Amino acid sequence: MGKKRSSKFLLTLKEVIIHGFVLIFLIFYVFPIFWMGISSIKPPGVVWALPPVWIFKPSLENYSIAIGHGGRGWGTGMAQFAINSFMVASLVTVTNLILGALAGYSMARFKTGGKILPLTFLLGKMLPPIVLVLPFFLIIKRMGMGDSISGLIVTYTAINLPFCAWMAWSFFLDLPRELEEAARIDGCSRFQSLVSIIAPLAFPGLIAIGILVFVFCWNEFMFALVLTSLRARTLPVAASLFITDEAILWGPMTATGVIIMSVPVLLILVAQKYIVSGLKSGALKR
Amino acid sequence: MRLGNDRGDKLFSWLTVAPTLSILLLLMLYPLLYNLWVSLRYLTFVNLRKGGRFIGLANYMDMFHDPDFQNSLVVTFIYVFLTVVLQLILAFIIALLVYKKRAWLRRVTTLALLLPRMVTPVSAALVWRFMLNYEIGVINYFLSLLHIPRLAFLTDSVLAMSSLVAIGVWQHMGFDFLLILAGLMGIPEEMLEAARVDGAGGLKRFTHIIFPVLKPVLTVVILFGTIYSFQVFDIIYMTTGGGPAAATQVLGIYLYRKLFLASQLGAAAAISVILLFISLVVTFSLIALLTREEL
Repeated sequence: MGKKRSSKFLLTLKEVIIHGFVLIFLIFYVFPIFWMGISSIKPPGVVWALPPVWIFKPSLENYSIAIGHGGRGWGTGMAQFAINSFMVASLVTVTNLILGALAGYSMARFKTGGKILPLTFLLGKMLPPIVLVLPFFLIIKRMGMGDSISGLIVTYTAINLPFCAWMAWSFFLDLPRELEEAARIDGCSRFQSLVSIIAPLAFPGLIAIGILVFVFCWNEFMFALVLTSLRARTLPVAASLFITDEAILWGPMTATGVIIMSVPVLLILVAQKYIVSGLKSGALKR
Repeated sequence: MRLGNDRGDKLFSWLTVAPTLSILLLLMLYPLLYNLWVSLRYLTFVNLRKGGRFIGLANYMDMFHDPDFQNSLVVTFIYVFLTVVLQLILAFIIALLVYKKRAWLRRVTTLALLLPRMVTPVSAALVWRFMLNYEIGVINYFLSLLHIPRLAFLTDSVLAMSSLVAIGVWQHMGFDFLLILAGLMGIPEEMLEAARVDGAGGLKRFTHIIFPVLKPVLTVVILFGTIYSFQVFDIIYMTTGGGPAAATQVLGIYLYRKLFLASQLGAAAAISVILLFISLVVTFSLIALLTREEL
């Protein structure tokens, strides 16, 4: 008894070593993100100084250059690119959620398409997007949507929809059908019961799907690179163009990196609970 | 009242699926078929308006005889194999170390390992490029503290591949860890306890209990990892660009170069078809596994 109790409160030497080892590993693991963050708030002159400057007065100068206040052309148009990114991501998220949730609901409740349809969507979700780069490039161009936000929206909708429908299907399968059946007996129409009974129940799941779609669009690089030039450019492409410059301004570059990544990281951390369970069930279920 | 039986339900159910289904036919199936059509033609940006001309399987023949393509196949295979295996082993070790420890350690580890996955790949590429820089990179600085000479992380062919593998593992390990940890937590404590009472040592418990129980999870992890690694583009495009020479030119980068630098649309389409074929094989095995095993 005594032994059991002490092991609950005190770490044995072996445990201390394991804890220490894991924690040191984790420090190395998150170091790149830490390094990006700390470099971005250094005064521009010492960003790349070696040995690294560890003690400095935090400065937001890199950020102000990154968003276009520093002259030298750096960061010009950043605001427009951010608006592009945001518009594309939110419009795709809304359309995909509506369409995907309807399809997922139908497959879960009415077994529409039997087992084949969900599997088809799963297959579409696994498709490497790069095989669509060439046909989309040609088709979007022919439709006169080159370098336009609508071209990106069409593309991202197509890529995300299978994922949306499939995830929505697996969420809806877990919801009890009795409630709905009762509502229908009480005279609710199909659409009414979907909106007033099912949608609130499915809300957490839909939030998770929506955030994943938003983050995908926000982060997407390859299609944005191929399908846009200046007008519809999104943030990741803008950031990638800085890097090819001969004189790389490392400070503003890290600031740009932080600005771009802060959106997905914050979104995912806020909705962490839903997404982790969603990823797990998405990966391991059915 | 059962749902899904009367006529209204049938109509409603197909009406709700219809928009998604038609978008996918129009924006996924059609582009793939169109791609197949392009792959059978001689098409460049110059004769794009006229639609090129039909040349049968010549694009495929050229591709298989192209040393650049063979190189890309090998490079892709090496990259996928190394990232998948290394991230699996590392994630497994970390999961084994923490799964019976305190909850806070598990939580901290999960969060830290998943963090790189949340970061925008382009941001990750920027900071890695910064850290791996030959002259001003902080990693070379740390090496110099250990009296190791500077390394050309992104411009030496072997080191460039190693760096990319390391970045890939860094990005995706958290996902493996999450699934493996869940699998480990699912092993009943009594089972391990019984084995311990019977005198099974750590290694024996691992090979006889933990490994067999986790085998389905590990297979899923491997297949998902393969699908992810196979799609790599952003990081390589932004760090080495496929170089030095073609040492890190995976199939995705090869396709991009064929398309925009060589302007060979037909050839690029043929590569897309091959990419599609390979990923379909992997995906079908994953789906077959997911539907067979009750996880």
